[in-house]
Amino acid sequence: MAPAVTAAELFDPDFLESLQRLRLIARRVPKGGRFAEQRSRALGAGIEFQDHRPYSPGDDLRGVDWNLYRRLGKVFLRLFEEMEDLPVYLLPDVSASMWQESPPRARAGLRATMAFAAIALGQMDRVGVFSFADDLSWQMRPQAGWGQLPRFAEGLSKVEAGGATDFGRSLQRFGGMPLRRGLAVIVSDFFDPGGLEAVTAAMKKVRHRLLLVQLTRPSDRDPKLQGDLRLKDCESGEVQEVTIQPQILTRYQEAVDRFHLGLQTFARKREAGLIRLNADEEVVPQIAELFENGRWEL
Amino acid sequence: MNFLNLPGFAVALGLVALATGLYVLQRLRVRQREVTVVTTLFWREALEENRARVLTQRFRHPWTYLFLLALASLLWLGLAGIMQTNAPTTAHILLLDGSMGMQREDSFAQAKEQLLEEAASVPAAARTVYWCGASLETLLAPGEELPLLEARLEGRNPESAPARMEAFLPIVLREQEKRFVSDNPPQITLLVYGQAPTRAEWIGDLPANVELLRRSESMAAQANRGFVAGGLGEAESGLWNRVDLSVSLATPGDRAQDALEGLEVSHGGEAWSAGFESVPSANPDIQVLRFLDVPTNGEDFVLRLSAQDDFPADDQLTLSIPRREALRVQVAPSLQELMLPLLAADPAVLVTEDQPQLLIRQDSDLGDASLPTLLVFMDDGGALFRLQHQDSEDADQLLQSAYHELGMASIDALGLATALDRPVSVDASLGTPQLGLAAPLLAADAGFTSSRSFPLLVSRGLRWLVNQPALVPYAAAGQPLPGEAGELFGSARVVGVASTITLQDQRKVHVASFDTSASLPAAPVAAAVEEFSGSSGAWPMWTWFAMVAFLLLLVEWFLFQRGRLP
Repeated sequence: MAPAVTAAELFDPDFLESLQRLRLIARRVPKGGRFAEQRSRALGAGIEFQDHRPYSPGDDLRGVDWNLYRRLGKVFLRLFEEMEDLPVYLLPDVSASMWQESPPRARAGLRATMAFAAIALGQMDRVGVFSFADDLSWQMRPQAGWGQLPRFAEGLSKVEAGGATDFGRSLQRFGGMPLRRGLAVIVSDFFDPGGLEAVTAAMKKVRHRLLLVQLTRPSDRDPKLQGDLRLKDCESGEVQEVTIQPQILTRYQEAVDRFHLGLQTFARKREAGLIRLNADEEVVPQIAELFENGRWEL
Repeated sequence: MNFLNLPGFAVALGLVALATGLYVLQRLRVRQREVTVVTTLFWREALEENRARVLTQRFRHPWTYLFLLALASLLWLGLAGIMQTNAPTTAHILLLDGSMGMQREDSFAQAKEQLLEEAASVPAAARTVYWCGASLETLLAPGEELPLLEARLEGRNPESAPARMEAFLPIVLREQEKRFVSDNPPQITLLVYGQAPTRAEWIGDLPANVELLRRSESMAAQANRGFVAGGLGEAESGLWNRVDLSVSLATPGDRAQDALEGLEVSHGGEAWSAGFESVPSANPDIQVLRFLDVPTNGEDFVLRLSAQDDFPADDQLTLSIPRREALRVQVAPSLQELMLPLLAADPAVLVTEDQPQLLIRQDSDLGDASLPTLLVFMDDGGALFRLQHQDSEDADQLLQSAYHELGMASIDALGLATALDRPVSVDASLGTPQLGLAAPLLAADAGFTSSRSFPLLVSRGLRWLVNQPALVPYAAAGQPLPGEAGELFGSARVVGVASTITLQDQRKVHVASFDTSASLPAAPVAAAVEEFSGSSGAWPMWTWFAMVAFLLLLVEWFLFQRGRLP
């Protein structure tokens, strides 16, 4: 199967330029990372004062608050908020459903993945790519630096179509990896043969913050189908015999709406971000719309 | 093709069958188009909800079914040829003459063409077409479409039959009376196509509601002559081995002097040189020719008009002359005194003891019991006459036929009964041919042997015993054969024309046209050709059905495009 997107398309200067002004801001990143631009829970040598603690032998004397010592006669150290990087784990869905239509959703998905990689790398965060379908595969190890972008583009352009979607198995494996807690960006259509329940159950087990990028199409809700049809699921092979009638179509749309609402509800309860992208349109403008003043605070 | 000949219930039955068939088709599994989609999650949910709410699982398109049923019903009714019409007030009966006379030139083709043309102008429901040939046939029943008539006339030609139009018309009128059973019988118009004559007096007797229109011109046939009847009888000369022939020759009165021009006569293949006599006839157009003392040698007697005319079918007449030989009779010595003088007067009888055909004997005389016998039996107090024959179905029929054939009506039964002082009766039974006379009948005081009926009884009795065939005195087309010859045919008493008829005893009667109306079509035609402008008043609803069906198709297409129909 032909690649959904080429490396040249992903490493397009205009494409990358349009992402330069966007920033993903985490409220607080877990400590233990390396110095970067995200505020972390770690206290130490930073810029913004955060707290005091009693001095203990071995502490750096440059941190002693001498003014306080003069007033209180006790030695305290001044603690500052440390700025660290945010681990960003990009999980593009490469299951069969992402490659089914023309143009495939995988094209929009991989460009969105590249876009988030570029944003994160641009702000010194570490980025890893784990594609998934019926299982998880490690596409790009977490790494930082703007200079890594060509490698990401190259790597994403080589992604191939997988089998059926299995959120449970894929995210279980992802959760089992010894990764620093960060932001997991799941780029998918979220069509799992097990239904939305299987998807949400799997995502609940992810200990990272979640950003869900849902790839949709207008035809998802308004399929241009007529007559007596034998609908075959491209992943599971399941067949549904249907005669397109107004009442059937209405119930179908209600089912689609329930699916979207269910995903929204999950995201709200989980305090996860949810972006719904139209796979038929350019993804960067759609992503940019979600960034207020170029920033999106998670 | 159409279904016009289907009755109303059959049309309704067709509608029900259509509805059932379409219902079954709706229930059948449809051939679905396979489409691969990214997920069937939502379709599964939608269908599960839908299934829970429908009454039946497989009947999925009620509106489609109704549309289809409406379309199919319209087409069915259209094909059924329903007509928007009032009840027909005039029945048109079209009669096509298929008799011998229509073989003349192209008269049949013209009549057929005119019939087809004018039948089209008559409403089908009020139209009946009959074929009037050797028998009456319905060519097109009321309500049937014209193409059927064309198909049924294809390859049909005039038959060798006399014109019997007048005989058929009462049958036709009775059929119409059965169709229109009401207090006010409809007007009936009879349209006659062909040469068949219809007499003025007969037309005058038609009911007031019946009108007869002749649609064909009579062909001018002044030049025609033809044999119209023939027959043979016992020779007036009394010769037993001779017969006299009578032949009727039709010739227009103004050409009577030329009637015999070109007449060729032969017997047994040789020219007949004995001449003939012409007998005056009541009909000036008919001449009767008599040929006397024609030898009964079993040969054909052929008359032929060699001069060409426009109707050759009646130009030859052939009569088969029977072969007659003397009856070989053996007479027992005890009866020779009484019988020999009688037999000597009959030239057809030869008294001999060599290979006799018949015996004349008494009970006490010896003789071959298997031979036909004139038997004088001893009186036992029973019937004075005993008849026994095997050529009858039962004794009653035997008695009935033999009574006249033997001339028993001429016996003075009253005088005989008085003389013998006992009733005179006849017994009949089936068996070896035997004519029995009780011995008292031969007594001189009975007076029977001296009566004139005795030699007649003996003479006819001998012929009756050997079953000698009777002569056919007169054979004419359309007429039953007279006398015993007619009985030979049983129910088929009508002599054919221009054909050879084989009688039961294998004798043949060859006849020519024998139809005066065919040979002399110039005979007065009572009803002149009259104008016929056809009849209207009915128009097919097929057009309306087709238009409504087309509109339905448009609506269905519109709904289909709007996704309201699958």
